[in-house]
Amino acid sequence: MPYNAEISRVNPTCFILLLDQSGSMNDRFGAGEGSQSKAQFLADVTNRTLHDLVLRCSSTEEVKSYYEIAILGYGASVGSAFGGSLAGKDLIPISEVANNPARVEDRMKRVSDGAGGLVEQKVKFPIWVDPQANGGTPMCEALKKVRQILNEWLAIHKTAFPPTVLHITDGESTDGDPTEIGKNILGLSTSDGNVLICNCHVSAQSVGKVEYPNSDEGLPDNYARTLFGFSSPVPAPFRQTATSLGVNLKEGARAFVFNADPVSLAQFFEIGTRPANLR
Amino acid sequence: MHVLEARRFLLPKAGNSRDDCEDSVCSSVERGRFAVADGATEAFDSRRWARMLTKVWTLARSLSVEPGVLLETIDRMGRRLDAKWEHRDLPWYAQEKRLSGAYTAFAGLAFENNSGQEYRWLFMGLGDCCMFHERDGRLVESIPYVSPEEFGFRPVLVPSRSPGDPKKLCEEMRILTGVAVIGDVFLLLSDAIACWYLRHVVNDAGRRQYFHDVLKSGTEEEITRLVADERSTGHLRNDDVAVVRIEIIPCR
Repeated sequence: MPYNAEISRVNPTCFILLLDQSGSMNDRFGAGEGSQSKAQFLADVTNRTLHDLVLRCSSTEEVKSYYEIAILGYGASVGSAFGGSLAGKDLIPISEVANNPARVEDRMKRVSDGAGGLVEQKVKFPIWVDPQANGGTPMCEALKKVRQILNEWLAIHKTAFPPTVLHITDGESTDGDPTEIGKNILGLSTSDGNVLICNCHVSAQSVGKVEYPNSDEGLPDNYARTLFGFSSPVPAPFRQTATSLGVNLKEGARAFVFNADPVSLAQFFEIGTRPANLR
Repeated sequence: MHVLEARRFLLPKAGNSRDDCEDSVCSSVERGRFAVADGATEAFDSRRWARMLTKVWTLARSLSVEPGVLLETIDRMGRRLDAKWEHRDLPWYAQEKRLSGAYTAFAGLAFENNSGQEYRWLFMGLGDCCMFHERDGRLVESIPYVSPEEFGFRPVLVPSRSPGDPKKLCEEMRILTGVAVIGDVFLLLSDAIACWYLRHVVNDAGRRQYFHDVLKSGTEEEITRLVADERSTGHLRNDDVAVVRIEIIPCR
């Protein structure tokens, strides 16, 4: 059965978060007064996802490197989106991510008060990625970079749980059709299965959302069909997370969301990091 | 007059060292107390929490499973665990995890000699560590699960921080008593090996006998090899293993 390999320190898996940082990511996202730019929301969800992955790997003062993480941004340039001392680095063990945020902010979190209620408590919230929105959408160049990172990683980790690429974009590629490179990446694999690509298109419009379709029929345009074309079928281990979030997946559903709103984007990250729960 | 004979084993998950093992096992034949625990991997300092609870069950001067007393004991132990991290300069992730505390599954067994012909036993458990009571080669009691399909669904565990709903925690605890006679065998097992036992061993007389023979008289190497073999076939999920085997035997 594929997507069944044990994730461990000697046999880690990897996540590549591929973030559109083009100029249009400055547009507002979500409804109401609290809406932010797409870039800001994306940075927040990315930081939160990294935060959660670190917590899953830590027991006391040690973070066990069950995962390797790359955060790539593409816009005015293509490259690592990590800030601080991790700037410029591609794939990094989660332990190194944990100990090197660009900065740590104080935030309030609700925790149990031990009497059935909740109380707000100040917690440290690490920031690794800052919002960026500048330039075009060189998606092909970005995917080539993903492919290069994966080729190097797969040469060493032949039996690992397959890597997962979470790709978030708000617009069409400006440097060509990404289909061939995307499908090329889908063909890469470990002995446990093919690399997974999960594509999420975010939109300032709150209409026409399509979540995890099983065919490209009914998709609004060629652009949506292009992204669908290189989105992986959702493997079984991810389905339970989707169901627990109230996302019902049809048979043959692809890891693809079009015109995602903030809730969908947050769920997309949670489902896409499903391997984190497999241990 | 009968006595208790016991052996215990603790094996880390394949690929991990003993220091990484989050299961715990503690036993005292003199006191008639035995316990296994399985610390939750993703919680804070669960390894130490599992060890504290198995130790307090086994070595405490007196034992009470009255809900109020149990909650008070858990609370007291939890504060002791938390105090170990006071005044430490913890990284951000450890600070945050510490807020939620530790969690462990637990199964404890206590025996009291009753007129010399039999023992009264008392079981207390929370989570997916299991107790199996066997007589004449048959399973007569299986707590909390009776089938391997019941494993794998996030059970309620013993928290080191005050539970949001103490009433629910008490409702989830399994507390049972019974009587044991000569020849009876009890197993306390952490979840992975308990599931394996129910799925592959308990209904196979030959395998069951072999497993008990190895536990009763085998070397540490033989137990380790048995576990490794079962892991390699995929029958036994790769996880820490905690086992206590207790038998009521005639006094020599």
